[in-house]
Amino acid sequence: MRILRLLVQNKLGMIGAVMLVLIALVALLAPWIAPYPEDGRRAVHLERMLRSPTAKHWLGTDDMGRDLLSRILLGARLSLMIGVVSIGFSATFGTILGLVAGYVGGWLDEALMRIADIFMSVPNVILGMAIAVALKPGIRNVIIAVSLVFWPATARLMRGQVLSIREKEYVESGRAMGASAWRIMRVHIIPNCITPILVHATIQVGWAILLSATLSFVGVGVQPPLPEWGLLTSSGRRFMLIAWWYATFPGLAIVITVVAFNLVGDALRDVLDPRLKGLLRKGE
Amino acid sequence: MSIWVYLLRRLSILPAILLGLYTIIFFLSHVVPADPARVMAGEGASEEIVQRIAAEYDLDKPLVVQYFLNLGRVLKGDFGKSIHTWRPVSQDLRQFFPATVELALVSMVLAVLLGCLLGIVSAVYRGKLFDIVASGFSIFWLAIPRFWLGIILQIGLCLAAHGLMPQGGRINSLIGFRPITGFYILDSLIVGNWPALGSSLRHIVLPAFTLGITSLGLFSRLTRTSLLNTLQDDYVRTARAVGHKERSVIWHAFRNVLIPIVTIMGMQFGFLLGGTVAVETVFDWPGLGLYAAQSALTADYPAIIALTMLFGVIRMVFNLLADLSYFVLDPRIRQK
Repeated sequence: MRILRLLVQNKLGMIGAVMLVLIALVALLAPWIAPYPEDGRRAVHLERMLRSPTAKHWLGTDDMGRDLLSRILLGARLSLMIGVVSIGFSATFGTILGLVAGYVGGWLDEALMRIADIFMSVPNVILGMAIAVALKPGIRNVIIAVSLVFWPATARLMRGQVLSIREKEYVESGRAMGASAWRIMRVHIIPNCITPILVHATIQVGWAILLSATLSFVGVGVQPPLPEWGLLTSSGRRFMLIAWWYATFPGLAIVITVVAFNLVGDALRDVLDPRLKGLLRKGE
Repeated sequence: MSIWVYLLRRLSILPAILLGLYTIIFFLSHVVPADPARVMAGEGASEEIVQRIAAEYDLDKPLVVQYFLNLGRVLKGDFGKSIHTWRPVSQDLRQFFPATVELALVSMVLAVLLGCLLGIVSAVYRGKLFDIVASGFSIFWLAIPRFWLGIILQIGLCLAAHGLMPQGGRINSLIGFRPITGFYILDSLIVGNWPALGSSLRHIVLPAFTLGITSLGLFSRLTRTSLLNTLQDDYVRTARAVGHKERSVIWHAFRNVLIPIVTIMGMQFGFLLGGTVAVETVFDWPGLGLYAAQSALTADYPAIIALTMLFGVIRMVFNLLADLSYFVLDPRIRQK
């Protein structure tokens, strides 16, 4: 309850949360609220191609005459899905590996962290591109590529958390009483480590959306005719001389979504940071 | 621990990490695709071309043999021939390297100068309108896709403003200019070609700003926070109390903020490299980033392997320099 109260008091966090709820609702209801839902995929309306924003098409139309607002709304589903699913995978995979590395230690810890170092030695976009090219462009493979880029950071974070908790008295006493490693992990370690992982994952969803948009912009991510925001921006770039709206609004959608995730992630971190908790307890 | 021991320790793991990186990229490019030769040849390629590519790149040999043959060549700096330029990859890297380094360096300089300036002003005018606007902007700088920012700047400052700024490229092609080192700004200074210098600077401003936007925001926040903390220190209070001018006080406080800034510069440089793919694509900047984007589109695995390893090396070197800067700049760490 105290955490909820603190979250509500964090103004920027609340703004981000409201934005996220709205974006999620838009993504969920897009096929019903989009003015021209048939424009989400293959549709050609040459009579209205590259029209500037009007009352009929609030954000204008693209080079195939498709309503840009509808494509952006339908693209919200795609971008959110890619962001959430890829970070879901990377957070799960990274948490398990970080847990094993931190708890078992020794050569396994060294090996896993060196593998994480290798993945983190290359800029995210370059690594993401190399993976996406090998797997061939497409939604499923973008999710795999983004997951493989982000798992090392989660693994390192989890390992650090496990190392700090592993030597605590309640864990040692559990070991002394004969508890199995799995029980200690399940009952003591995971519950105490999960909070920073959740905070980190929330912010990572925004980065995942940015990375998948960049991969699609370059041409190795999501493929046409799907309305992914990076892909829309890339298509719009070819017409920016005569249709400024085509590249502008999809990019703005990315900014708004990533800002929302960053605000919520920052608020969660501020509220759930143990150092801050300690200070608050003193004040009560 | 002495700096030399630390340096040796860090350098000793570099070959292992590079070997690991090579192994991962080899796995991705040679094991994951069902038929790497067909992927490299492209859709619709004839059987004869696929077989020629398989022979040229040893793709018809056993996997283990391919791994070690390739590794042997990579160790000698031979990454094979690029699929989309049909030139040796090492030649392409040498050609495109200076453009990217020049862009990244100018971007870093812009980010540090503007970021620190913004941070100092925000700290000095804490709570005032400028600080509030700058803090508000800091929410967005991490969320802006660089490719989108580049396009917006092109629309606003190039197209709508009737060519106020050049839309792309490194230099006005009508200016007589022959590069020497490949760093156009440096080359034009060397030969005293002022029109070329002016054109190079005009062409680099927008891509450098776009590339450095995230770092600019980071330096601005870091400067503001560190300066505000430093301005609370006893020596600052004493300086004010004995009557030193405020400008002098702020300058001395800012010097202590430089240590974390210099360190983060090293880490940010590696981060900037990733952004070159999108920025160079938007601004048609003929560097490694654009080369990487084109290699990805054409499934040019020899180039992708080379680029991944090169970017990895550059990032690791700059991370190492960033860590070493702590030893050099902070006397408290040297004494430890």
